[in-house]
Amino acid sequence: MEQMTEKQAPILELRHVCKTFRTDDGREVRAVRDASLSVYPGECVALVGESGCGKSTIARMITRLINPTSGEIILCGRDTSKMEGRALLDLYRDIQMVFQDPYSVFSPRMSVGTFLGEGLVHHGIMTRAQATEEAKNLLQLVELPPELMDRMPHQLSGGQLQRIVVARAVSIRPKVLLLDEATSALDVSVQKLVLELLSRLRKELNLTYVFIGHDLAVVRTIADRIAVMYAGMIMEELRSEDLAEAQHPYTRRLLQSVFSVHDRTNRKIIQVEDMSVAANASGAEGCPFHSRCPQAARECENTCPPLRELGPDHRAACLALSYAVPNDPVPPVT
Amino acid sequence: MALLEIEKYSITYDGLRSAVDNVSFHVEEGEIISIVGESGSGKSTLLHGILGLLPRSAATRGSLRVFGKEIPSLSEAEQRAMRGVDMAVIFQDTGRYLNPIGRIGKQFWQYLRVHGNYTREQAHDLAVERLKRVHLTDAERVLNSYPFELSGGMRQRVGIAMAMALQPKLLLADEPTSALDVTIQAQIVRQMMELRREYGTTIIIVTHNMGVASYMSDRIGVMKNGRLVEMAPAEELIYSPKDQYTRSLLSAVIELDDERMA
Repeated sequence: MEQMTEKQAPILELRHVCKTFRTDDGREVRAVRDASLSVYPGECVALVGESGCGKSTIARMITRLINPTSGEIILCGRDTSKMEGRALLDLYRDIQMVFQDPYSVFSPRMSVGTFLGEGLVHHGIMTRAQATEEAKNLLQLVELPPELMDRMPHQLSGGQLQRIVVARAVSIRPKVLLLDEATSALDVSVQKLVLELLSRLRKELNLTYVFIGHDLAVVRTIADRIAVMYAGMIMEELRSEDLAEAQHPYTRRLLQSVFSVHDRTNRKIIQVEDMSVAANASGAEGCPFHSRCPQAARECENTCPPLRELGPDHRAACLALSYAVPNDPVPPVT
Repeated sequence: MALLEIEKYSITYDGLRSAVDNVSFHVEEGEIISIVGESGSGKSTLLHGILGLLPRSAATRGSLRVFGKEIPSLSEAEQRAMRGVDMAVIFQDTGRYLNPIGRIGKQFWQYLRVHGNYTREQAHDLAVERLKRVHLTDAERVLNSYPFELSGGMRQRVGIAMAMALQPKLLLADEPTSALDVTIQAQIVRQMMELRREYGTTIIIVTHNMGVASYMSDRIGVMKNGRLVEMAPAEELIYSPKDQYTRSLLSAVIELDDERMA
């Protein structure tokens, strides 16, 4: 399937996107540094990384909640950064989003039925009466009983609310769904069910997903491809099924940090990191990971590593890898 | 004598439903115990009960003994004397429990003065030693910092260093890594395991992260709706869980080598 989608034009494309914020005292924070990424129709691409890596900043730029400092974001063939007014409203017919906390999305005094119909009415697709009728189908779509129509948000659980948020997001049949930590606030049993729902909806409604998360295991189960971010840069991009063969030292570190329930018999050794000395200068030109990197060389301090092809659907930004034979695995971080 | 003995212990807030319902277990000295469960299972409430930090509106039944002392029957002053010395706690976000406008060094000193006559110099020396133990080698810089100047992982280490200042025998940890990034989480987990190795500290950790519980603990208890549905040595609980809920909880955890949905 990947082979087929490769031939199509990407439905969403980031071209050299940068975002620089300025703090009150005039410092510049480079939240996103030269990010390029293509998402093909029907795919689920995940952006994964730790807090502050820029993944949510990218999400907010894709959905035009903020503007990029430079670079282009092409959605369905149009550059979104120049859109205004009517065009911007139309943008949201193509892309919808789901955030982490469903409670914050609801108006506390709006019933579920009204909430579900809002998008359809807002975009002029249906009248209020039709939308209310459609809301019942939407509930069914996300495996909830029709009795919930008249409920208020405070009467529902977090898992139910997140399903309803998903239902509203897909109600207007967008092409792309952006999920920003959409299952992170849910308890594990609920999280798994919502992920299964999302997987099913993607196929049934022919959606393309951009899935933003911090949990590698979660991201791997739902996404086709993964882009790993660190300090504003895309460090590595690879297919989900190849995650175990990740090459970038940061991705390896992430993988080593995941505690698996079932690896008690073969417990990994965690190397100590002294956090009191490592200071990352966000303005520095070098690799942002070099101060924590076990393979850092002197040149890593002041040379920004380019994202380089390592194999099919596999890119990494690391100077140390540039000299390695592509098949030569990097020693695991211990 | 077990270090902690809990017998048929219940906590209710409204006199009707129990937040903690008839829980019994013992903890031996030097053990690492994890209490896992989903939100609302009562695991944090239980921890607050052990600490003697329940709100006034809470009513308890049954027995809860730490070092042989019945916690609910102790006076406020007696309980306060135990906290910090015999048992200490770290929370999910230590930063929220630090004074935002006080330097770490000063707060360390204030913490120690509650429990004894420490001069500024003594407090400083002890703080430096404890911070180095938690791998913050540039301890002077940390002591001169305000909480907001430290990363979440560093603050959590400061919290551990402070909790361990007087070498309590029992350390209680309420979701100590849940707000942290995975690479930092791994560091804090290692840190807590080092405490037992170096000081013989008994640790009770409340977490929703089954992976962390599995990695750290000797025994794991599973809570649901206030009840302790199963408690067993970690190996046994993970590889041959007896309770239906434990099984469903374990099967819901998404792991790196799981089958993909996509």
